[in-house]
Amino acid sequence: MGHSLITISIQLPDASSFLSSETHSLIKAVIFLLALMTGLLVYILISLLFKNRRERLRKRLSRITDLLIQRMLFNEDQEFAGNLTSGAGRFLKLKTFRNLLIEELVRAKKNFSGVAANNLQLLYQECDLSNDSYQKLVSRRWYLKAMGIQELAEMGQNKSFDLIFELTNHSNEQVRMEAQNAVVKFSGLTGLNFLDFLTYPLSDWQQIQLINQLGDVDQNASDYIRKWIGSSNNSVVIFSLKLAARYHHFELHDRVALCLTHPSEEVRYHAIKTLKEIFDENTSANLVKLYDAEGLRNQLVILEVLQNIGTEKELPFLEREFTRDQNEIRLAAGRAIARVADMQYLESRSVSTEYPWTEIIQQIKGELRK
Amino acid sequence: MSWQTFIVDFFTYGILLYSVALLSSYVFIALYSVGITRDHLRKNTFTDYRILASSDQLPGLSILAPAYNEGNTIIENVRSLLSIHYNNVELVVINDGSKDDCLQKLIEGYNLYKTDHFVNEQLSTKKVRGVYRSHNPVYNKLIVVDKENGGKADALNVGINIASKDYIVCIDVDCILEQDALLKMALPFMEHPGKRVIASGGVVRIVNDCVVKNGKILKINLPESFIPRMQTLEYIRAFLLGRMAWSRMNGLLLISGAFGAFDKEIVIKCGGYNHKTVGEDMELVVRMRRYMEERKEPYKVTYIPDPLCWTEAPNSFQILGRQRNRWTRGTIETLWFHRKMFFNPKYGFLGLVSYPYWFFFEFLAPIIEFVGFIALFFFAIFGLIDWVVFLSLFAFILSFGLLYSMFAIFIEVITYNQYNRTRDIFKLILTAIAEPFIFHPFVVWSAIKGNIDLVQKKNSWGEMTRQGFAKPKTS
Amino acid sequence: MKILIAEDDLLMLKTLEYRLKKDGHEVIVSRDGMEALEKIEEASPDLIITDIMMPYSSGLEIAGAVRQKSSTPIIILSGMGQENVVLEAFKLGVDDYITKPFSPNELIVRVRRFMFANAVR
Repeated sequence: MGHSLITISIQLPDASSFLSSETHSLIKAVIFLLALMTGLLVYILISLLFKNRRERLRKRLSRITDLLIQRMLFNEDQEFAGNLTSGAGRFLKLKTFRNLLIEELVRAKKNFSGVAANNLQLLYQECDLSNDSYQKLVSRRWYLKAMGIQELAEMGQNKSFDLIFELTNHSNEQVRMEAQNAVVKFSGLTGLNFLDFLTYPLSDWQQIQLINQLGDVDQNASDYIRKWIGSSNNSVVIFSLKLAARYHHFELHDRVALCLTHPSEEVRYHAIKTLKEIFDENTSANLVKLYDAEGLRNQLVILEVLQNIGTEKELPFLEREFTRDQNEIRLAAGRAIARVADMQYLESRSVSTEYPWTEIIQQIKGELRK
Repeated sequence: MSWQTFIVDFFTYGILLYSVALLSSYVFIALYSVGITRDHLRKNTFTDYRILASSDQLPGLSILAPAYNEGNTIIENVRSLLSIHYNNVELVVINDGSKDDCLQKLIEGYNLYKTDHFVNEQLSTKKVRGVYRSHNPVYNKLIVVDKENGGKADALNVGINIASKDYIVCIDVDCILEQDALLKMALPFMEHPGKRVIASGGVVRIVNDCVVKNGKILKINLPESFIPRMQTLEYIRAFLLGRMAWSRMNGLLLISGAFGAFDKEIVIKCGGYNHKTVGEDMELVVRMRRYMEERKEPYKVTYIPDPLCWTEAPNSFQILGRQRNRWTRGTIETLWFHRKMFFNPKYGFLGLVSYPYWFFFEFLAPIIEFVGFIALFFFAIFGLIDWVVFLSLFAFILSFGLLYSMFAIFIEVITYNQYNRTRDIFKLILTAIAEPFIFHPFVVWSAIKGNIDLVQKKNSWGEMTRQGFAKPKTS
Repeated sequence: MKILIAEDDLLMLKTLEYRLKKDGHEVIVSRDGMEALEKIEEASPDLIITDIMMPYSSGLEIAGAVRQKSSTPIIILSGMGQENVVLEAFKLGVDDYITKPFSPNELIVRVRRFMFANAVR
């Protein structure tokens, strides 16, 4: 903002009685602003003071929480937990301390697995911290609600599953996301059942989080995925396509291939990408059939997929595309030819001595050498 | 009524009306930005960037870093850029026909060899002399392009032609990025299903007097000397209040050239950076928005208030003046190229609010201020001024400006709190008090000179390449 | 054995320090990549345990820098589990790669393995 405030100060002249009668109120306004400013200044200083003070208090308290967590992490006989927490009893009455401890536990839990992780959970229970988390869960403020969900999930409080599951289609995005992450954390693939009735879109970022949460493959996942591929929520369809690709569910090939005619371009894009992971002998031919009706982005991804799964049957098609008018297409088709046949074959094309094909071929050669 | 009173009345009421509108917009922006900043910070606590960092689904980013005569620092700068956490990234350094040993240093420092790279000239540019890559696998993300000199916009366009990823991140090669800057920059592109995020801007902060080692910031300090400190205040105001409010309205027109990410496909479809303006960063965003509006596709320009990018601010009135002069010309040129959108309902919010705001309050403000000052001078000579009214009005404006600055400082304290010593806060407030008397008049004068230069056609083209790259712009 | 840990999460760092000291090791801690590199230079540890995502220098950079000079064993302890990152790490010459979340007990066992190798040498 080019701060052109004084600008205005020019305005000055009086002549008209308008301003002079306003002078008085103008001075009042200045006094008002000055008062506001003083108030703000005081407020800034107080905020700063409190902020720095809270920071210091947290630092002091965190020494205790750290110690507690460290001891607990390597605590082989678990009876010790009681002794440990009784020492901290005094502090546990402090809300700041409890919140800090929960925060640190949640953070630590993300780093550890095995006995250590169980011990952290034990500490959470011994200190009766779940009450705090439940209170947050029922709060009307979205960030507290989301925080409560995160804590209960990270600390494995399975009893909260039903309460949290209800929030998976919540109107606040963050609450919804945390609830979805939580139910998947609790019960893996079956937690994803919220996809059945999800009306909000899943963002790409949320899909990443869910996949991260999901971890390893479930044997009978393909039945679930098959159901979700038919969802009317496009983002759910895309997400299930990603799952099919990730876990290589070859048995879903035909269902995925149906998505090649899906009305959404985005869904088709992901269907093409998925087929790369679960292709069969008809896939390439299907993609080629689809090709001409698609836009540039999907055409490029088809050519990219053909690099990996194309066969000699597609060579005539690839050669046609190699001589098309767009350089991106030429490059992608050239790469596919070099992979499906070989470099020599690509170099023996009739256009290979012309611009820009010579350069394109040189680049592909360089890439393959690497 | 006599002609004198007419003129006086005209000025009085005209400027009064203008001022009321301007002040209201300031009040609105200040209040409107608070909620969104708070929400952003809260949301941020839930984002586990490690999940993002360890995902294989990250959108691909090509960092484009144009370099012109940066031989002294290029090795360090590139090293610092290469060390940023991001899995799916390539760094394209574009040597814009440097006259020094910039390219040679890169070749030696990173063990580069010339590759046979086919440059798909989707945007027409000056000639590319060569594309280099490193023998060392540790630097496999690095691509160095050598081209004939053509200015920053042209260099960036070459970078776009070379870039292989879906998104481009344009930066000044000498700025310092936080380690997680790219992760934070990439996130908005994945957060808005149903809307195409065409660009995302980041905050630029001032690095003067911070402790920097090996291209990393060790300690954040408030600049000691007046000019950079003044700009620190300016940047806080602009980035924390102004841009935040505009992005909340999805009306952001400017993403600073020092750090911004763009959807490559849209950039190419609209023709890339325009090398006919000195304000290529603003012009691109406006053109991309215009493109999306014309196609009626839902889109979004996002903005992240976290301090991610640090840059050296001009430390002399001379350089500062040149920078502001250039910004002014960039703004005018951009507004001129896209004048079709002025109050054009076809362009929705962009045409009815964003564009007019820039026209009236960015472009016209310094001019009105300047004209007002001259008028004041004449009125004073003719004895037409009621000094009581004048002084009280003047005091009103000054205190309003100061209040606005203090509000920005307040928001900084309760959010990022980077200058967390009481002493620093007082220094910032003193700076705010001094601003209208020293800094502001100079900025206005530089803007006026920018207008004059543009009118005299003594503008950009030739001069641009020599001047090197525009510094980030505050709005 | 002299072990250097580079990790930006303070709790994690202290925890590892505590546990390794209990095992009788001398432990040097560093909270960022730059500090780690400096301390490696001056203290020449027998084993390096490092995170990847840290301020200033990443664990991979540290691995690269160390390998240019010595064969000190390096264990990467990171949340990044993508194939290409792991491969890059091993290409740089790290000796072991543990992904978070991890079991501290497992880490201890792995450290002991290097200790024996160290004793043999």
